Amino acid sequence: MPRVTFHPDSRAAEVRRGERLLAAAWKAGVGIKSVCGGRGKCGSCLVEVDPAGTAPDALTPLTDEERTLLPPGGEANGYRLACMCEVRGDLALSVPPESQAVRSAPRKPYTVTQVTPRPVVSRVCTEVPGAYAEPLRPLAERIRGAVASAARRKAVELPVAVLAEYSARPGFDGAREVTAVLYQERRVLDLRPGRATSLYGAAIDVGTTSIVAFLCDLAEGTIVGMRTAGNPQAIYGEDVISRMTHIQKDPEALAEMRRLLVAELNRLIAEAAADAGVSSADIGDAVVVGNPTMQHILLGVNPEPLGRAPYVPVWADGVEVEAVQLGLEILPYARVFVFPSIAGYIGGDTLAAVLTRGPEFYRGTHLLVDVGTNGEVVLAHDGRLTATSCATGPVYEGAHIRCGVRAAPGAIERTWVEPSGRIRWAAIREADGKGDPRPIGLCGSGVISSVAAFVASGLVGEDGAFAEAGRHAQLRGNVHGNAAELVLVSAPYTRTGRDIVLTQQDVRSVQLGKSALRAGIEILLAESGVGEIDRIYLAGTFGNHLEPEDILKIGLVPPVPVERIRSIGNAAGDGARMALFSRNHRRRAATLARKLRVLELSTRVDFQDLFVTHTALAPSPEAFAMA
Amino acid sequence: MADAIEAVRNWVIGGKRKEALEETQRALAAGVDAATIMKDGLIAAMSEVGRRYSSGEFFLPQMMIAARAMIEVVPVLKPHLVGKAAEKRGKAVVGTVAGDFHDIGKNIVKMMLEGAGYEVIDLGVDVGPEKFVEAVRKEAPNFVLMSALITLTMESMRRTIDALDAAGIRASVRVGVGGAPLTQKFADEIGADFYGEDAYTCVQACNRLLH
Repeated sequence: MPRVTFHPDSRAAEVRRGERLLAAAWKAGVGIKSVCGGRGKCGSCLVEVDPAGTAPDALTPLTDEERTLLPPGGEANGYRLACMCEVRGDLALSVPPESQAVRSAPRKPYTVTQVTPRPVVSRVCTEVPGAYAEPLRPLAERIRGAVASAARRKAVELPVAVLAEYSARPGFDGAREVTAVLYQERRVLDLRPGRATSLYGAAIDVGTTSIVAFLCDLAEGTIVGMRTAGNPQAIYGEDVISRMTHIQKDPEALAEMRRLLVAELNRLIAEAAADAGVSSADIGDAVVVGNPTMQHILLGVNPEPLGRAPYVPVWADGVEVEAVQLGLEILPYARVFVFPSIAGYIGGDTLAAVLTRGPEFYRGTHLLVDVGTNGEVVLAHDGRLTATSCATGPVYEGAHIRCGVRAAPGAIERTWVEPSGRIRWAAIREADGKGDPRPIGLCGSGVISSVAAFVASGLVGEDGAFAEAGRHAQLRGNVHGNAAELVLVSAPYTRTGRDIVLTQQDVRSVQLGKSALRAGIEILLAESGVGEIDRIYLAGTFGNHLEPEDILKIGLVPPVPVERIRSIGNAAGDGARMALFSRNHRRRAATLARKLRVLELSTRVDFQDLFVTHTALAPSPEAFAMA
Repeated sequence: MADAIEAVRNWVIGGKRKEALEETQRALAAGVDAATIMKDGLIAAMSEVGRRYSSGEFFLPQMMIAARAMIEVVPVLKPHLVGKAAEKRGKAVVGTVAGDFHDIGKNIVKMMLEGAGYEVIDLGVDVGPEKFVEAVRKEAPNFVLMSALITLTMESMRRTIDALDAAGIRASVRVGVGGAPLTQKFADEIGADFYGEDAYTCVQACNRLLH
């Protein structure tokens, strides 16, 4: 079988002859960007074949279709598209930075809402009488009696599995001090000899792109450790639809994606625990929030129906699953709470974000907007909650953009045009300020910032079309005389050795994503009879990086005074932590799930006109109506 | 005469329906041949709009207002068209496939076809194979045009083609497919007759296949 080696990680896989190169990458666990899902449309899965480690004819010959998608000079440099060629023999190749799948860890992952701790689990220490204690009773009864009285309860439940594990310990039958972990003061989740007091829990936010795990001291209500990582499922595609498509084609992909996710969660929890000096035996609870697809996959439930109309979830209840059943390496009988979902695209993450809002959210008119591959919008108006979701497209993650890259060092995150017309930019630097300062491409906020800056300076019209090529030295015309792209950084000054450009198509993608979100917001507002918005909260790690001025300029949100826009960061993670610290908030989550009304946009007849209207890059475009 | 036609063409490209309508009426009153206005005014305008859309110069709003202007002019020309030119160019059944509610792309195709003189039966969104089969039986169209915007719903196109086959009416129509996630390769795989990369190429393909 041919062997394929991927650099820079030197990961390798043996694949059958005729396997697509992209599939070989999945097999090797290498994430290659495949914006179009490997259908030969986007050219994002660019790889560079290394002639040294490659047998002649190791790949099927270049076709015309593939050639048209390669960058200029690509053929001479050994570039290929991983989704368009098949493996015939041994080969080595490198995956350039701009082709590496978005597996980015969020940069500013948390905001913290203070909560009075009232955790679901607690610890009690007590003396269990020995076998000779009168009246003679089975060990289980002695334990139950001792734990119940320590917890000041009439009785507690002791599952046989917990006792069975305890009975495997030496000297289990004798009189001794034990510590029990109690679930809602009535059910023993764990039993061990000795005295232990601290009890920890994990709050986890599983995004399509990235994962955040917090390790928290439950009694204190504090964060003791935090870890973030990219979602390892990214090797199956960057958006939820790609992942569902994989599951549609191969049902085993579901189990594999679940396995990848659980393994990553275990790694994050273990690392956070090691940092804080906490043993996994002291982690007695976990709360997970995610978008509906991620929650389905974690629970092992097929998410496929979420991908097509009428977008109804298979499983939507909030649910507690034993850690051992999920494969989560904390106390085996800990009851991991997975948030409820509301609708096909409104999940526990949205609910958790709403959970972080205090009573003021329910007075007046507030809008909570989570901007990501999918945009979720929740409107609170006179105490009523209405939510909707908009397919904004992966443009906000820097995908679907010619030079789009993940938000990592080397990504341009801000662009501005000086009065002289000089175009300036700023890229994310390495944490230590060292490393190669040359940029790789544009991350999502860089794309939005560029578009806003170019509209403001007239290089891009409100209709999204570039100005004529003569307008600026960095505008490059196409054959029709229109500017087809704007060169932000030219090849000699980039890390990729290729120009970093913003293309006309990129601007069009921004317009599509922007108008989907804005049209959704407008319908939500109209439906609730809202005039003025008191505050707009931007949630999601991406929301944190958007400049309020930029999004007002391009009309991503309705026009409001800029000070009414507030970033609340990873609100989903914050909400998960609140539900971990307090059972009151966990109950509130269930109540909110029932109260939240969902507005489905796909069946609205007025959506099309609003969508078309808001493709304009302006705060309040003139209304477009087909009628 | 050439000036009047060029004016109609430019008003349509610019999406000025009132002006396009007035110019058309003026031209007709001046004795300009309706079939020529149709061909060199409207259809030429649509080609130009299609070209500008493909190059990125035009976007959805410009495309849609141009198509709307064109649709308004067609009924004014119609009574003046005689003989062969008066006939509908062809008939198409269009719809977004089962599981998919996205209709903007489908609506643009519909408008451009109407502007090009086709009769269009719009089945709407979330259209299952049976509904396509039923419509083909009832309407006897030249074309069945399917749209899908989600990778997961593309499979429904294959099922529709299979259903047309099973109903024994596959040979009576040409099947065209389109939508953002589609490729020529996928169209070939499922046995479609053509793939329209955008609305304009779809109309061009219909024109080509009709002759």
